[in-house]
Amino acid sequence: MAHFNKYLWLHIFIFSFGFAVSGQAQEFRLRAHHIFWKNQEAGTDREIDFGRGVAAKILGKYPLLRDERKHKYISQIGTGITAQLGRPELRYYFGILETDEINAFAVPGGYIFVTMGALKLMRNEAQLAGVLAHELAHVGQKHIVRKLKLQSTDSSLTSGIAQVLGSSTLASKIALERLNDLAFKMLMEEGLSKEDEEDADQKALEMLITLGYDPHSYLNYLQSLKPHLAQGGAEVLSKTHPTIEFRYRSLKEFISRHQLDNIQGKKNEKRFKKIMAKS
Amino acid sequence: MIVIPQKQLDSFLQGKKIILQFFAALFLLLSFFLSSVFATENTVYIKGLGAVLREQPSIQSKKTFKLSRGTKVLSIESKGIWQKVESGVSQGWLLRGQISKFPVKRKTLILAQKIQLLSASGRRVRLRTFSAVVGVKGLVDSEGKKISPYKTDYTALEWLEQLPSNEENSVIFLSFTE
Repeated sequence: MAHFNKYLWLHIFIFSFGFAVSGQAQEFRLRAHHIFWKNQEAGTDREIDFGRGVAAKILGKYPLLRDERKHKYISQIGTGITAQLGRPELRYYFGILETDEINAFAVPGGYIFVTMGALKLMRNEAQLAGVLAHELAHVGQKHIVRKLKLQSTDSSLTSGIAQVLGSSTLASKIALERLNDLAFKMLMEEGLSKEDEEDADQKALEMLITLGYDPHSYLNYLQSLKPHLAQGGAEVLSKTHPTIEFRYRSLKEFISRHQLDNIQGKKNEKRFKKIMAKS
Repeated sequence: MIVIPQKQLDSFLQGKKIILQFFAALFLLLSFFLSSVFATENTVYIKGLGAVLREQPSIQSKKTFKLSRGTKVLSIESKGIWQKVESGVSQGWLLRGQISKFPVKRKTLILAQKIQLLSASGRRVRLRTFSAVVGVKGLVDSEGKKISPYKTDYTALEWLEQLPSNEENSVIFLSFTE
């Protein structure tokens, strides 16, 4: 034993060297990382609970278009994107709102809505994919949750929601309702930050490129919004988003910075028009 | 095998014990933290279904290998929106949106879907959560006043939630080009 104590530090030295060289430290850290993320699953449940409440309020303001054919189409495009580029732990829902107002909404937990007004303005599938991708980027980056500062002490966003809404008491239900109202107000009146919108636009463009869609169609869609914003056809959109000039300029700069000018892609105009024409 | 005589080792360690202890502790800490920091920075996971590796960082470049969701890969190099990764013997470029720093988690279902899965008959069970009740009556405080000024429609939400969705079919649908 005395012999062991005498050389204890030498043993530690040799062990730590072996530990580092064999890559065990790496494995250990990764395992710890996995356990941490497993605990976040409860947070995802809460994020969905929170999102459902906000989605129900959006559907309280705008009626849901119950056209299964159109829904199936939007859902297939949206799910096709999320299956490749979304958060794998979420099941996304895509809804069409029956209003001539031009807008689209993303709600935490994976609820995405696009208005009939926006769909009527679109010319092809690449534009639809671009708008959905922009909204999906908000969910992917948890922009709303971040803006509501639902961040807990361990700096995880979803566990922040879990802390607020973790119990089933009346107080926590009231807290949930208030948070839902704040998120709803943000979507309808205040909007996200200029940076978050810029980030979502850039991510949408990257998604379009990844999926083989024409990225320039998204820029054309933004341009086509301009006269409608001036005429007041997209009141909520103009209140909650940066100007089209800013968004267009920022995307153009992003395209030239990453040398994406020459990238072409599919537009699938015929398929889009065929589905949208039928009532 | 090299054998160090006991006496020689004792004389070497004499007077150097504290220094040796300090360096051993320092080395242990560094070996753990540094290697793990580098490990998590380089290890990424494939987020989506069927991410295709390309030879060069370009959309026109030749497709070489398909990786499935959740595959652990090593990130080697980044170039603009492109990321070079290595998985086993294969190397190639992906778009950065296709990978995540965090392991892929299983899908989280909403309560109604969980109930449906557990239901022996398989028929849809109406969502009886707090939110569904609130959807009809509205949440009120102790004085009976409504908490929220906004209307809700949980019936429409449930209609949307019960529509079928299939990731594999949707990816095929999306890959169509006119």
